[in-house]
Amino acid sequence: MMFNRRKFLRNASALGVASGFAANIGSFNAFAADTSDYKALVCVFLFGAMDGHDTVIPYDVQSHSQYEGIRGRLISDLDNSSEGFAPRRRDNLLELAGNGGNIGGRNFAFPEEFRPLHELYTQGNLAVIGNVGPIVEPITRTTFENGSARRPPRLFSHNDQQSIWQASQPEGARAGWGGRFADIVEAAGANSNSTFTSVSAVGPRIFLQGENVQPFQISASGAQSVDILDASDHLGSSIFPSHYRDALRNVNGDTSNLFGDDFASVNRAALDANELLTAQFALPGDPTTVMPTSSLGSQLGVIARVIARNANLGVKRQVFFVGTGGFDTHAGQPTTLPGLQADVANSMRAFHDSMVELGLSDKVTSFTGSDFGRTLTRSGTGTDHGWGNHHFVMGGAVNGGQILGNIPPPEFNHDYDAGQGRLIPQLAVDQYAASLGQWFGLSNSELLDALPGLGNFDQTALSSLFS
Amino acid sequence: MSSLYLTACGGSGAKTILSSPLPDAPIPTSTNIVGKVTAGYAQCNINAADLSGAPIGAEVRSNQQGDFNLDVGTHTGALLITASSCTYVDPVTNVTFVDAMFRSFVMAEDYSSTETTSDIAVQITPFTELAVRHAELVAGSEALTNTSLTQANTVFAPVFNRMGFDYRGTTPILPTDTDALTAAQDARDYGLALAALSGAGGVEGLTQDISLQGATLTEDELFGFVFNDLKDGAAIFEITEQNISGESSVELVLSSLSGNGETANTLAPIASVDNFVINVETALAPNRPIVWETLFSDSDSPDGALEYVILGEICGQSVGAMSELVLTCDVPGSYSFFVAAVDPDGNVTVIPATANINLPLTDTKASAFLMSSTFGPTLETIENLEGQGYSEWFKTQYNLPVNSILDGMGLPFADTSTSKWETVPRERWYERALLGDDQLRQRAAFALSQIFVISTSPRDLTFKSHLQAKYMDTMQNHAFGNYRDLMQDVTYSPLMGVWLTYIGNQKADATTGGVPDENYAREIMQLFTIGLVELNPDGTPKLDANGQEIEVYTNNDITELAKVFTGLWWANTPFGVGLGRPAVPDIDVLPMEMTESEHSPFSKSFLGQTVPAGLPGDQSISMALDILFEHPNLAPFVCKQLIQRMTTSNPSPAYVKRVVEAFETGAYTLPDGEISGTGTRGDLAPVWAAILLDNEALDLDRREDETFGKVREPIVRFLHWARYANVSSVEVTNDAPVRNGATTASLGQTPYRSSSVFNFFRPGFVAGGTKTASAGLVAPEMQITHTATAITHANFMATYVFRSSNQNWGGNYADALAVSGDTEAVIDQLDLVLTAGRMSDATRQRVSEVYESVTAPSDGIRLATQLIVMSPEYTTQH
Repeated sequence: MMFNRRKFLRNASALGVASGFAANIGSFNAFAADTSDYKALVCVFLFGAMDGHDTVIPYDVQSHSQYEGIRGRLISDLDNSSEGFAPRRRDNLLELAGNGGNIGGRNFAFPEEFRPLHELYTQGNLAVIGNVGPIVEPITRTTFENGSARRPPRLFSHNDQQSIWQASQPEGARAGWGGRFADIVEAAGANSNSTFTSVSAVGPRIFLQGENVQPFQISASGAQSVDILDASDHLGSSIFPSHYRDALRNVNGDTSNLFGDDFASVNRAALDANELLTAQFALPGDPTTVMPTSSLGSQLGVIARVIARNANLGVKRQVFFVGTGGFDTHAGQPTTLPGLQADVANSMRAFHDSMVELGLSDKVTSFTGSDFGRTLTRSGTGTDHGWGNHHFVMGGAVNGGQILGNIPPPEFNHDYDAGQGRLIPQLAVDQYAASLGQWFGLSNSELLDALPGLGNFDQTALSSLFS
Repeated sequence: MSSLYLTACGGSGAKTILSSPLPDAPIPTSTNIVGKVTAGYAQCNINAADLSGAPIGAEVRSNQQGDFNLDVGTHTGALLITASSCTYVDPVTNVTFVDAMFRSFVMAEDYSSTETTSDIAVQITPFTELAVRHAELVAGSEALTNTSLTQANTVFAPVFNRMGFDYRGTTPILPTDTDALTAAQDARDYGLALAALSGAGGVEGLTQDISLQGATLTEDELFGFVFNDLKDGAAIFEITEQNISGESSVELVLSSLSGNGETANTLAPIASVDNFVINVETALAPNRPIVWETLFSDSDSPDGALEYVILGEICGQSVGAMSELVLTCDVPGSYSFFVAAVDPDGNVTVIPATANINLPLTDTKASAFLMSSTFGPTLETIENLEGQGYSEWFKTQYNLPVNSILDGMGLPFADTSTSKWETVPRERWYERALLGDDQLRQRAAFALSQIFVISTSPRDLTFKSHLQAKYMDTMQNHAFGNYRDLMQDVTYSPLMGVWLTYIGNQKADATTGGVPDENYAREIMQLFTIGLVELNPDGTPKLDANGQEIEVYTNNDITELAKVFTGLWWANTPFGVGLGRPAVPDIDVLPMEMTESEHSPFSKSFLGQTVPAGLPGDQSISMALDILFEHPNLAPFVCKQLIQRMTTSNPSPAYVKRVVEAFETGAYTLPDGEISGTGTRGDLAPVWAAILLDNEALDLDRREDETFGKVREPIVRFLHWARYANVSSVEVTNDAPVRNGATTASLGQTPYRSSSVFNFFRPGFVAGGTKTASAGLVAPEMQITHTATAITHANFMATYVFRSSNQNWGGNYADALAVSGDTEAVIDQLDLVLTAGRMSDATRQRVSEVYESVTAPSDGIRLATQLIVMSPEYTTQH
């Protein structure tokens, strides 16, 4: 299906049917991804849905006042935080300068916990993308409520919206857009060894699954090894280590069952990749930047170590996936969210610094994703499931220091309110992904291929995100 | 065209019984009962009446052939048709009687969508008369009802439909007639069938005295050729051995032990027939036919010649009169039928009989069954199962008492000390899962815990040990109980209240703008009860006109339901807000309590129903849970996932539907014919039997279907090894890998400790890029079986497999050491117990070589075991 469609698009462009595609010069490679230099995309997924309302916070006096009024104790509980979190009062916020008041004349700020990322914003290495989420076609409150605009299925459901965000389909999807990007660069011959084309540090996630490229699940602790395998014997049996290795690889084994085959394949892939990685990690080359010891910090740390070996691993294009959870703050948001935000900011910042250290900061672009946004309304001491959310793109190649897209005012019943301040996205994830893919080197036709819904949107909406 | 309802269908004619009325059919302007009184009868007065006895339509008279046509107008519902004042010619004696009366009943409500007139075909025969009498017995002193008619239909209709001859054109022959053995087969069959049906009546109480209750014919005149014999001479067979599970060749012995005390007149006691045997034999290849070979010998009769008929359905196949019956049966089940027999002396006996057919329980089959139904087979449990058979095994398991984890905590409730207490209930859980005899309850509760997912992992709760122990008990207590009760206890569990943040959830506050937390409302619908999209009873999604799935609810439903779950707070404690636990003793083990002033007073409308405004909080919750419980999605949503936890990741829709039926009816017939379950919807006990005994799960031919089966859960893989190795010491708190999983040696799964309410894996998970994915299959457990966990899992297993018997979690491998001198015996044992006979040649060779590569059997068995537990044969089940 995928390949038929790709073929069709190629043919269509060759015939000049589809306007806007590159002119046909009679060769497939002319349309293939540009993979001449090293580039990596790193998706930082915030599981559970980080409250964007409380991350890109209304800052002009009137908006902030409205915001305080609606959020009530979610703000006041932080005034004397026993956890040591900074208050969300206006004086304590970090203004996001430079958006020129083009968002309804309103201004925005980061909370204190985002200071490490605020510095990157100020330096021009981090941009804010307002109100992004999965949509099928442009949609407003009117067309949402009267049903005239198509909408994604299973809105507000964690697992399904994670899947839709990553793969345009609810749970059970077969491939994600990160994986499709990897398929394309792989097909273009970017990597001499495909083992590490796509790497997840947080288990299998549909984002990285491709039609062809198999993502490698790396352990945040680094390369792993099976005990005993490298011993000369075990319990006095000299044949055991080699037999054990054969057993793990199921050599000559016939399972006659697809589940058995899949299990054996996983074991084989794990052994092969980890042995390669073990050898590489034994060599010098790790960045010295100290990473936070949190789960996210550890994940980004091991990714940095892999990136540092890109030449030895035979890769010029890589897609990574890391993530951390706890953002589903139905209750206790004032006592939990700031800590999570601090972890995100510290971990992402340290990762950026390590890329700077490696001289790769303009070759590596990181971006956030999340199940959805949250309600503007407070429920108890927390917030509920929403839809659109604000996201962050980080890296030396990013035209930072700006807010792209839109951020609706902190009030209800505006054109992009699905109820209780659940934002109706004004930018599709497809558009967000397309701008990243374009930077990654994908052609327009390849982007349409990897992002089937992209054709319904303006593909240039985020064209100023990268130079 | 209307279908027949309990009307005999001899020779030709429609076979349908009890087909459902079409929903939008117009009521016909006219319905005709087009009938025939059976052979031997001529003109009768034909009347129709409803069940209250009120006449419907005008009386008609049947013609010389017994045909009639009676207009019942627009009546709908059951009709009793009476043929009276008949002329009856006894088929045996040729004596003519008048004033015979026979009855039949029909349902006048089954119309096609296009007809405005409708004919209902009906036969009136001795058969239908028997059925009506049976219905009268069921009804007792009450008037006939649809229920009593339906029950009669259930008993009699299958027999009617399996008569292999045209009884309307046949004259039955007295079985004791000297010419009986040389008469036409149809005539003999008819006579025997009448005998059998009378016996069927007898089962329900028509024993030997089938009086005509006011009819003008005497019993002898009507059925004399049968009932004389039945009354006066027939013995009653007793089934002396009917459990035919567990053997490859079994006999169902029906021996005639007791007569009715009067063996007078011309009939020799049939007690002389002492070897009525139905042999059920099984050949194992290729399709394992079960061959029924009926033998009927009479020690008093030199030639042993006997005539008999079996009426009923066995294994989906019609059974008729025969001198030898051979049929192939590979469908386990309990089959009821009747046997009527006459020996050469003319003695007639009719008995009801039940045959219970299981595919034979071989060693490997028992092992495979225990892989699904327990935390792993052992030699002992395999042997026990073979001795018991499935039915007894289930009954034994159902009756084992709950071994409370809370009671086993051994800690003072008020103890607030160190965090290690969280591991104590886990240790108790491991003890029960590993060592408990109540293996089905343990496995069932574990499956339920993966629907009602809880975790203490991300919440810093003091006292969580007792919260957790109480919650584990909740799963255990209801594992064989009702799903509705489970929903109730979970909803009031303070651990769930904290986990899904609705403890302290308040009604909306207009001044602050606060609204109720939607968390529990959303997840109880999406994950615990009905799911996101409308389902068919077979678990497949319903589709709209555009082929799209239909979402069950919108966020508005959630916002409304969220109002229901307001006002709950820790017991014995003034209402507070937030997740912290008040310092009040014992509240962990008590259900949350309602504070009315914090409960939303508004109406709550969701799923098209409304919990009225002002209803007290507990009643609101109860009503809301009822609405969810009654939803048609519940059974398929829950049952499919329970199947996935136990037998296969991708059950066929038909399999799901069969399990759903057990859930909906609260009943499942065990192989021995006993019914498991209370008959109440939502009863879980029969659901486990339906899952585990379904032919789709039991049939080992499934192994040849590469799409069947599942990856076993890491915890099951671990405990199965521990049960085989005879581990007895299960300390958890100070044993890092098993406590939580260490980084380099981890199972990737800890009981009651999923990282989110979405469980360790999702039922719809597709393992991208794999063979199962290419085949369109889901593989839930593959979500935690990937390149990062493969290595840690191998190391985890090695950590424990190689421990010595005197270490914590060390095994002594007693079963293997008992045969340690014989490598083949050791390997065969490992193959049977650990891989249910599925060990590949390559694995067997490796295992054999490492076993023999060391001198100490206790080392060899550990080396061999480690290879096996990392093999696909062990880690998957199919």
